[in-house]
Amino acid sequence: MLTTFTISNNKRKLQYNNNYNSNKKLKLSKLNTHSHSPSQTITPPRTPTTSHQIFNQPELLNIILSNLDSNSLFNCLKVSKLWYHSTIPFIETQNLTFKSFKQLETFNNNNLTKLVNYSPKSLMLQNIHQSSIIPQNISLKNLIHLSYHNCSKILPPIDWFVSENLQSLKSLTISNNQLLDDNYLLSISPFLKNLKYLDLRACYNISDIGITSIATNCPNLIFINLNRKKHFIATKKNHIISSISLMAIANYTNIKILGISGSSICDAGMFQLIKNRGKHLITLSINDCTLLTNHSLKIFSNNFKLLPILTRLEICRIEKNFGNFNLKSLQNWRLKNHLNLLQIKFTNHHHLKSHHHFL
Amino acid sequence: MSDAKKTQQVVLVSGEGEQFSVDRAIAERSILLKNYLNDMHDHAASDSDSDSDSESNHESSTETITMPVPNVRSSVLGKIVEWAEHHRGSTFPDEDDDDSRKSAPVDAWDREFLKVDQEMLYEIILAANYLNIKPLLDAGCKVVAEMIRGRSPEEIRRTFNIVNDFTPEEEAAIRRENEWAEDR
Repeated sequence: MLTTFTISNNKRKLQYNNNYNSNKKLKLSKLNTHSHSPSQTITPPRTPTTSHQIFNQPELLNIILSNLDSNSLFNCLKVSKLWYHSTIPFIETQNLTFKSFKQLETFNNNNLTKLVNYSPKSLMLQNIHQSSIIPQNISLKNLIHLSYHNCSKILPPIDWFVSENLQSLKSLTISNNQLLDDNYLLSISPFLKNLKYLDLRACYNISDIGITSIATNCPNLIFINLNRKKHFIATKKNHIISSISLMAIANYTNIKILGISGSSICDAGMFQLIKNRGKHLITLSINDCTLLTNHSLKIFSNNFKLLPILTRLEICRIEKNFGNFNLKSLQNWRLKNHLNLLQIKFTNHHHLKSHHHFL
Repeated sequence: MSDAKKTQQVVLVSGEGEQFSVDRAIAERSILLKNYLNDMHDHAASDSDSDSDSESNHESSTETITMPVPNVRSSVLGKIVEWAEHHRGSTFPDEDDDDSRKSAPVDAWDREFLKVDQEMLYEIILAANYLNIKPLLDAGCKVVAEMIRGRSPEEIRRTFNIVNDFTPEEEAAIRRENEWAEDR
């Protein structure tokens, strides 16, 4: 048994060295097409040295590395040649997050040689306020989560969606964006069949047209955030999110969590939402939806069964429209039926606290 | 597995020739041994009594099986047996489900169990890999990963006695390539 083990072990080492050689060729040829400095390639490691043999067996090193976060992985990259080659696959598939213009610019400039072929599951850009910069040399084939959060002047290129690279995209965030408009949404929505989470908060140049296109094209949506601040929209009459959007969401999606604060929805839209999706709604945020009246409230108070699993309701600055909502009987009914208590968020934070206790 | 098989004795023989007698169920925490025991002994038994009743099968189950494990030292094999005895009744996350295996924290008992000198820890990992005992291999590798977390490349080299075999040019190339990740 000892002999078989050693032999198989040697075979493994042999295969592994072969892999390195082919890797080296690969990287070298790649380099030659992109750059004239072959010194940039990392040559394969020599025979293992003084460290314990667990660090010389790629399969063991792989298990160890698979337990590490990305910051640690970047340190592992610099330990030795063997570690570099073992770490690269983990680096290539890790989530990419760019938190500043400078960081993304550095990435684009230094990634030209394509020594590392990034193909992340998650690509996130945050707080980049400059215009016209696109993450370069990233393969999108594994992308599931794409987020442009608080990047006001850039959008993911429409090509990304159209070329069908993003078919497995489950979650899309484009928030606080000045460029996002209905045309953009109309262009991308046919390619978002598998989308489940959509966050377009604080985007003031989109309206019912874009939202309806999204709702009719993305049947799997369970989370939509369209929250906006009321006073921003007041002057932009053409970019209204109304009951038309709400009805499309109610009719065509699997919505469970909806934020549509600051929109111009009315009672008719609420009826439709609760009729179609009430049984599945978990969170509903309708702050500042000043067109809603006491009629919407009657739905809550007249038949509690219509919203059995709703656990959070945000009605800041419109609670006065809701007059004499009988919360106590609603909560008692929920308790009696072993359901979660409903958390209601009001305008005033003191109220919020006290109501939480009373609720 | 019948109860008779579970309590069937297996004698594991370490590299130094020391014998560890365990229940077959304990030995079978090792997939390597399990497959070996199933393939060799059970088939051999069923071949020999193909035309007799189940009684002789039972008798063959009471035989003691000797299994040499020559590339595992006594001290390490002792630890492995201790681990398997402790986890006699444990169930582990689905072996095929990589995500749940990776996200699970190291079991508290395993963590204490693995508080050994580095050499012993590595030997346990090697043996767990060879014997194919995934939960122990994972726990050991997680403990090593924790030794890496938050350490600089130089500290990692020192901890594991690894020689830096990069040329200065290569080091510079790697630094340049990953510069974007530095200031996060």
